[in-house]
Amino acid sequence: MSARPVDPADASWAGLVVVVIGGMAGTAARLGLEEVLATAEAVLAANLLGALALGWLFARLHAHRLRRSAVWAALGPGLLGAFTTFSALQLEFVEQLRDGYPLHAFGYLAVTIGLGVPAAAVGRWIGERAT
Amino acid sequence: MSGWWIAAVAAGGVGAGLRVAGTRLLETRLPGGAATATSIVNVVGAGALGLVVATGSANAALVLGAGLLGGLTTFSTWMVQVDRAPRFGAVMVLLVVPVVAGAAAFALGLALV
Repeated sequence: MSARPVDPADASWAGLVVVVIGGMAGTAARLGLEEVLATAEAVLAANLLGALALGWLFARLHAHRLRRSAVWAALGPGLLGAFTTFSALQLEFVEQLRDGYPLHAFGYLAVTIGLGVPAAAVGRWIGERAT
Repeated sequence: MSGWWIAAVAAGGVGAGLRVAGTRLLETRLPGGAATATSIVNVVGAGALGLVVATGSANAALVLGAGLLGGLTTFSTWMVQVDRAPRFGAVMVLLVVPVVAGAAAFALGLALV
């Protein structure tokens, strides 16, 4: 299995338990954000923050060969995987379209992805430069 | 903090576990590997959220929507996979296909209930 390319989606089968625990923490943090912000803003904030953090963490994983570690499983696919969400992004997009606000809908999608990709890249850049 | 909120947090953990298990099962069987697997999980989760929202139940939206499906689907992994994609063409496919398929799946889920 070591020949398989390293990917940010990966955790070992043995890591599933810590993925669940990390996922609970990530979900709690996202729901907490939804308590203080409007849902659309909370989803955007969680997604951008999570993309930045996972870009950083994944770069650190490469630097320290953490791929099989429980720390990676808990924080990467677990915490940050669950903190961020794709389904709620689609809900915001489609609901705004259905409500007759196509500019809001496409703007929300464009801001999320237009900032999400650079956020992951900036996280990687910081992670690759840390000692 | 209500019992529904705690149930949503627990469901989010289960969703994350299902995502990792689903990704591991799919990634070796598909062209594009884990990035394709993540996209499929995300699109399925968006469709399921459409179904949940269509039920009109606030508790279902919290526990199954924000919890289970929020934990199942992921934006951060998707973005890092886009950042790591080898070519511009792969980046475009990896961005556009899940967005279009995810929106269609969510709308379909809404319409089915």
